[in-house]
Amino acid sequence: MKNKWEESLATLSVGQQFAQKVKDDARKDKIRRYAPLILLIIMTMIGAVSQKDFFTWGNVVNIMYQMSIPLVISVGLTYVLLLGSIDLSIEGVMGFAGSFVAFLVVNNSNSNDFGLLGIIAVVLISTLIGAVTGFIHVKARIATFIVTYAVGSIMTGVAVLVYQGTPIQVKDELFIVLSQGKLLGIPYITIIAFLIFIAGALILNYTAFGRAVYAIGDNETAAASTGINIGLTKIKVFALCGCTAGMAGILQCIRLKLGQSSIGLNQMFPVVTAIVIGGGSLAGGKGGALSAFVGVLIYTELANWLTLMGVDPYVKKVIQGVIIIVAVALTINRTRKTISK
Amino acid sequence: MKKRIFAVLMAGAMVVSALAGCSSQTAETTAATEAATEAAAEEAEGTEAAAALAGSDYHLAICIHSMDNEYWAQEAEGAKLAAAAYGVSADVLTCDSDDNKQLQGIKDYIAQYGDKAIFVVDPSSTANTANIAELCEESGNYVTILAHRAEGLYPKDYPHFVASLMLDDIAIGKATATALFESIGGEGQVVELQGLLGDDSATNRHKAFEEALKDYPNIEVVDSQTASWSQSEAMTLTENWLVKYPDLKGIYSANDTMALGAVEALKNKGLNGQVMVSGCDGIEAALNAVNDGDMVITNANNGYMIAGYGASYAIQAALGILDPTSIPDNERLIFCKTTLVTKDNANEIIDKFIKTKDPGYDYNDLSFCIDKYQE
Repeated sequence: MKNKWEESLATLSVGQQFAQKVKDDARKDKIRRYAPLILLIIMTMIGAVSQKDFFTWGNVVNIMYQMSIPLVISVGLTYVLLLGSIDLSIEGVMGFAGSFVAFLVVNNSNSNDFGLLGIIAVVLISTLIGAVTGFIHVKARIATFIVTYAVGSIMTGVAVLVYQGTPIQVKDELFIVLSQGKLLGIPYITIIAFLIFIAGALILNYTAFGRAVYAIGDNETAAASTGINIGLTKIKVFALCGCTAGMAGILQCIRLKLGQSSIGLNQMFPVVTAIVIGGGSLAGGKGGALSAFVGVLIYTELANWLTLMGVDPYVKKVIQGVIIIVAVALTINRTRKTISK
Repeated sequence: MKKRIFAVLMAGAMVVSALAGCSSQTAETTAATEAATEAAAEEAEGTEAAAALAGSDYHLAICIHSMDNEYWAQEAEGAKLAAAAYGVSADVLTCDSDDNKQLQGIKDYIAQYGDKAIFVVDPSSTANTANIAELCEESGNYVTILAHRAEGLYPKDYPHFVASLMLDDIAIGKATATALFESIGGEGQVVELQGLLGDDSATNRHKAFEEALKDYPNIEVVDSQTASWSQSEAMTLTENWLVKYPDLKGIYSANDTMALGAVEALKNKGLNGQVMVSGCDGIEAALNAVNDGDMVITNANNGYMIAGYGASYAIQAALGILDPTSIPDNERLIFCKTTLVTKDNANEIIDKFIKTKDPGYDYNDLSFCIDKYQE
């Protein structure tokens, strides 16, 4: 007995079959695109039902505050992942930026007082570090995995050299205002993070540079044939990622008031995971600013909810792992022939 | 051609990084040697002159995890001070918590200095302590091992494993927890910030917390989570707790870094000094927080003491001042003295440990470091 699908095959011409397949793929793609959003809504509803404190204004502010730094990291990382590359130097650059900015503003270990100028300097240096990383990757043709790992390790070392083993305590009035101040009940750090995110999203979606990033991630050879300067674009992407990693490090330092290399520790992989949960792909070409946002929000909400539920720490790790696998399984594209890269 | 240039560049980069590694070590050596010379000059007038000179061709390797931690940096400083007191030169070997790297460092040091090499080791892991003891026994170099000791590993079985100096995590944890409970009047809601799951110290300090709880039936532990020693994670957890438990009275933290994260979260809500926080380790920022009233207590683990006297034990054995085999077996298993820090003594501790970086210990008097013997 022929089933319905085989029957329809028999009656369709090759061209019609192809058209049918493209249409099917487009439909599946659409479902996949909205899966993270649906997951977010379901999670939020579960949270609201299971925990009376989940939807209080205080906790909503908490979640926004806690997603701020991952969100800033995600801005640059989204570009890098779109290329199909990875940036393992983020944690090192964050640690360096946090340590160095603590060194430059009013602190307990020296008489520096560069204030805003210090912040700008650190952002510029971080951007430069990213650009150099990209340059080495492009010109020396070393895989990003290796280059960025090496750069991260260098920056962690430099960070420790900055404070000589004793973390610098920040005493700068500007930092205290930024960490504790609020506008309409929303912490300044959150507002700054959202502004950085919006800027990143606008560049990605509305500039030739942004479109070039997508094109390279999708098919580098094809992109090159259309006249896109692959090398320069990649260097720019890594510079941008260094810039946002530096800003994330500074924000983390503002939050914690202590400049040490470990402020970058364990900050990158959760964000990579969050981006993938949001629909990004490690192979490149898939995802975007909004999906990164949704991913980061899902990840932060999950951690927040598990704490409110008072789940045992061991069980918490297990639940987090399971939810990540489920989320990625829901969103990943399984039409590719190879299982993974 | 292009490839070749990059190969040369890469080789260059490797050489530079290797040199950077070496040069930092050389710098350490020079500094220690200078200090040693100074100390030797000072002591030349005293009766210790003979000992100081006797030690001059010995080399102490201070094996620690890394310099990226105040406590480990204190250990390095303390051991250097002790080495200087005997006129022994000192090198810091870091291992980044890597067992093999630490063993390799020790082997290289023995290869370089032979029987003139002395070791004081904060082991990369508890399991590695047995390897370290074996290695030093085989080559005949004296070693003391700090802070960790594998189950069933005893100095008495190794003539060259001079002593094991540890911190009594349980007693320390109990003392800080008790002080926290007392500060909130012995009743109310408390949360616990645990260290990295599976870590020795984290397990012990958690156990200590639970033991201290037994004497306080009116304390309610509303949650206990791990922040993996991280300030950022501790801050996030505390923010979430403050939403759920508005009546929270106290936060017990297994180390100072996490305690400082809790303090930052409290500061953002204007609750610092109202919700009590206890820490452990005695890092500078925490000592300041205790002084400011943001933390109620911490424990100065005192790297100067454990590593300084640890080094002294090994050096005295190497110089023939001390015969390890003549010490009673149980007296080679030592719990070191530490200091609880409250507002009363915070300033004094900051002066001794942070500002002068020299607590002024007499490293010749070994008994000074002993709090009690391990069981």
